[in-house]
Amino acid sequence: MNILMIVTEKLPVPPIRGGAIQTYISGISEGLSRHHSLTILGRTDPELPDSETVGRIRYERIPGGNFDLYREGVEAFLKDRSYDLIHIFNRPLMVETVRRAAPHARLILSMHNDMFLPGKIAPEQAALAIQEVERIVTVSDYVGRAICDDYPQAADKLRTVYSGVDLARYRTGSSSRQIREQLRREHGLTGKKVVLFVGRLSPKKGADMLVRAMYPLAKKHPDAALVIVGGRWFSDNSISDYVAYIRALAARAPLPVISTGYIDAAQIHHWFWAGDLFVCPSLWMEPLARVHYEAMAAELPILTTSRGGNPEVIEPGRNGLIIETPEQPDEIAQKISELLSNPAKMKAMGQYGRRLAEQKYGWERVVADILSVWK
Amino acid sequence: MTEWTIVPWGDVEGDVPTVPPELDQLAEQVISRYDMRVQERTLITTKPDKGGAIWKILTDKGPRSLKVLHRTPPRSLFSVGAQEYLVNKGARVPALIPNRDGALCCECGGKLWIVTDWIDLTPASKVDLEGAQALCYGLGEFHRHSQGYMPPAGAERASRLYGYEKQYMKILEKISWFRVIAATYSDHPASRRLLGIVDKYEQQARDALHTLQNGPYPALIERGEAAWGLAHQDYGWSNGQQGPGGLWIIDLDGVAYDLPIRDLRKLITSTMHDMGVWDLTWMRGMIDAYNQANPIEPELYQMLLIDMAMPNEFYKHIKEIVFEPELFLNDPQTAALLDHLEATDATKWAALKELGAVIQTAPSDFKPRYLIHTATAASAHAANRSHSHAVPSPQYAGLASPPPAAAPTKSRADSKTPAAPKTPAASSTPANPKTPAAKTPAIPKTTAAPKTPAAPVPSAANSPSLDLPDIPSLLDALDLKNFKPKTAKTSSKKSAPPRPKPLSMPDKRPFTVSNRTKRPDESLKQRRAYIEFTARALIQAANQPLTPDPRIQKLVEALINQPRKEKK
Repeated sequence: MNILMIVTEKLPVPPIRGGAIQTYISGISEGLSRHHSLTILGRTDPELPDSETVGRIRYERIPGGNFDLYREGVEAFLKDRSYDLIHIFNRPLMVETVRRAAPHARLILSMHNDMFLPGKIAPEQAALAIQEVERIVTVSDYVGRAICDDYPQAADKLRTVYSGVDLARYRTGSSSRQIREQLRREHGLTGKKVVLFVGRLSPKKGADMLVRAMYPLAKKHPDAALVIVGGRWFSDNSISDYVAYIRALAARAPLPVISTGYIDAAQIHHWFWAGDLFVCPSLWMEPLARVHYEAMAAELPILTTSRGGNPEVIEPGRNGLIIETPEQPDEIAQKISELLSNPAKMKAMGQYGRRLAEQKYGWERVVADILSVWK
Repeated sequence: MTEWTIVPWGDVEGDVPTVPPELDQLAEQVISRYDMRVQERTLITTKPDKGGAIWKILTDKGPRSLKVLHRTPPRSLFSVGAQEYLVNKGARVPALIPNRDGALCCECGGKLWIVTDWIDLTPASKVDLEGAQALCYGLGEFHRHSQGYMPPAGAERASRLYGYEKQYMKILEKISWFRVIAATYSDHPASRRLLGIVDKYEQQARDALHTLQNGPYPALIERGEAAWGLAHQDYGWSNGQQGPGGLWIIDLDGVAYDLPIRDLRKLITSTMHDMGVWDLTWMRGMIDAYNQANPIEPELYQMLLIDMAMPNEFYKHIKEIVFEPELFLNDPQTAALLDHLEATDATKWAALKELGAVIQTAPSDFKPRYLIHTATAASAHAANRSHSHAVPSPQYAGLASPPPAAAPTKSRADSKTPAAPKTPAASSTPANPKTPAAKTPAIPKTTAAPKTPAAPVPSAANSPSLDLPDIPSLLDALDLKNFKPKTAKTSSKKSAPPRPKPLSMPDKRPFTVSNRTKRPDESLKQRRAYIEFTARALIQAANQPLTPDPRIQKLVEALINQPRKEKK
C-alpha cells in the first residue's frame, strides 16, 4: 500500500528535537517501510531538508509550529496526491481536513494523550473524527478508556498498541557497567543505592513528592541517594518556582539529592545504567510514560503510580510495584524501602523486566501490531 | 550589516538608568524613519532585565516619547493595535505617530518600537480616596473603550479571559508548598507562625475556586474575548495619571483580553493591603467611581468579589519563600509581613460581606479539579497556542485584514456564544439566563457621595448616578430597529478605508455604538455580540442601578415618612 503518516505540527521527524510521538514514529518507520511504500509528512526544521528519501522512507516537510497553519499545509499537500491509507498522529482535529482532501483513503488515528478532552476539541469535531477513522490506536488501555468515557461510540474502533524501546541501546553488559561506575564516581554515588527519576520537572510529574520521600527513607537506608535527570536545575538563575521548591526540599534532605540538569537523548541511557531503582511518581493521569520501557530495557526494577496508563506495564511483584497514593511521601518511602531492603528481589525484578521488554516492548512488536492494524 | 538584537542587559533598574550603546544606535536608526527632527533625546526609564526603554524626545513637531517594546514582536503588535484602537475610540491614551511609511510601529533589533505624543502627566493622589477614584474612573473608561478590539494580522492573541480557573488552581497548589517548606525549615519562628496560618489561607483559596467554578464565571466567559475587551494588566498610580481633560493611561505593553474586574480587583486589594485594612468607604468609593465610567453588571460584580476573596495578597507576598527559604524565614521583615497580612485579613471578610459577596464554602472532600471546559475555551486554547506565522510587517499600517486562518476555530467559538436574539430588541430577554435579582448581592450602599471627577450631575428624579447620555437617545443611537445584519451579500469587498490621519488629540465624542469606528472586516457575529452586550449593560444600568443615588434614597425616605394626610 501507499501509506502516508502525518506527524504533529510540533516537532520534526526524525526526533532531532526529541518528543515521545516522534521517537515512536522513528522506532517503527524503518520496519514499516519494508512492507509498504511509506511517506512521512511532518514539520520543517532548519536542520532538515524539506524533502528527502532515507532508505525506503520518503520524508516531506511543511511549515509547522502553529496547528492551523500546518493543517492548511496538509490540505495543500494532499491536493494532488493519493494514498491508500493515511495514519494521523494525535490530532483528531486533523481528521476532517484529511477526509475532505482524501475522500477514499483509509484513515487511522493514533492517540498518545488527551487530545480528545472536551477542553481540547469540540464534541462535533470529535464525533466526526471518530466516525471517519477506521481505527483509533492508543498507547495504553487508559487512553482508550478515557476516549470512551466521553465518546462511547469509539469503543469498537479502539485498539491499544503499546510503544517500544531501543532494546540494543539499553542492554546492560560490561561496557554499560563501566559507564555506570564512572558516572557514579563522578557524582559521589559510589556505594550508594541510587533511586532514579527521569522526566520533566513539573508539578504533575511528582518529583517533589519523591524528594520528600527521601526524608523518612533516610533512617532505614542511609546509603540511598536520589538522582533527578531532566529539566533545568538548581544552579540556573531563571528556574521556575516549582524547581525552586524542589531545590529547597532537596537542600534539607538527609540523603543526597543530585540533579543532572538536561541530558541529551543520546546520553540518557547512561543514567539508567547508573541507577538501582527507577521511580515514576506521576500524580496525573499519564497516558503511559516511555521511561517505563527504558527502565525495563536497562534492567531496573520499577516503582510507578496507579495513575493513567502507567500501571499497565507493571506486573506487581515481578518487574515492579505500584504506589497507590503518590501524594503521600510516606507511602513512596515505604515502597522504596521495601525494595532497597531486598537487593536479590530487585535484581530478579530487573532481569524479569528486561525479559518482558524483549518479549513485548521492542520496536519489532510495535511494527507487527501496526501492520496488523493496517491490514 | 547585521543588526544587534535587543536582549536584556542587566538587573532591575538601579539609580541611574542606562542603556547599552548599541541600543542608543538603534534608537537613532528608528528616529530616522520618522518625519521629525529630534533636538534632544533623554532616557527616562529602562527595564534592563527585560530589554525595554523609554526616551523623551524633543522634536520640531513637539515633545514625543520613543519606546522599545521588550516583548516579542507578534505580542507587542497586539498591544500596538490596542493602543491605536483605543485612541480612535476617544480614549485618553497617547496617540501613536506613524513613521514615513505610514506604519505605527517599526521593527528594529528584533523588537518593535513606537513613537507617541508626549503627554505631561501628574500622578493622582495616593493618600486620599479621590485619587483612587480618579484612577478607577479612568480605568472604567479604558475598559469601556477597549470592548470590541480585534488584533491586526500577525499579532499574537493575548488573553487571560479563560485562565481564572487555572490560576486559582495554581495558587491553591502553591499554598500547599508553603506549608511543606515551613514544615521542612521549621527551625525558624517565622516558619511556626506561617504553619499556624497557612491552613486558613488555603481554605480561602479552596472556597474561592469552588465559588468560581459554580458561580457566574463560566457563563461570563462564554461571551468571548472581543465582547469583554482588554484589561491593562499593570494598572496603578504610575500607569494612570492626570493629564489634559482627565485621567490618562500609559504603558499598554501588557494589555490582554480579560474580564475588566482584573485590573479593578488588583487596584483595590493592593490598596487595602497598603492601608492594612479593608476599608469599606474606600472600596465602595472605588467601585462606584469605576461603575460611573463602565457599569458593572451583577454577575461581573460578583466575580469581582470572588476574585477579591481569593487570598491573592497572601500568595503574592509569600511566594518568594520557595527561592531562598532560609533568607526569607530569617528576615525580620517576614515577621512584620505576616503580622500585616493577618491584621489586614482580619478585616477583610466583614467588608466583603457588606459588599454582598456570596462565597460558597468548599465541602471538606472537595478535590480541586479542572471543571470549566467550554467550547469557547477549547478554541481559545487553540487560538492562544497559535502565533501567526507571518512576521509582522515593518510596514504595519494599522488594522488591516481580519485575523489569519486561525479564524475557523475561533468562529466556531463565536457560534457557541449565546446567539443574539433574532430581532435585536431592547425588550427581548438576553440569551444568557440572568440570575434573578434575588440572587444578586444586595446593592452596595454608598455612604457619603464621594466627589467623582468630571461627572455631570444628573437630575435626581429619574436617572441614577451614571455618567451616560440619557438612555432613550442612546438606544436610538443603537438603531436596533433598523439594524441590518451584514450578510454575505452585503458585506463589502470594497477597498480598505483610507488610513486614519494621525491624531494629535483624541476625539472627544461621547461613546456610543454608532459612533464607534466601524471596520469593514467586522463580522456579523462580532457586531451582534458587541451590540447585545452593550444593550444589556445599558438596560441593566437603566433598570437596576448598582449604586443608587443617595438623593433618591432621601426622597424615598421622605415620602415614606411624611405625615399621613387626615381623611376629610
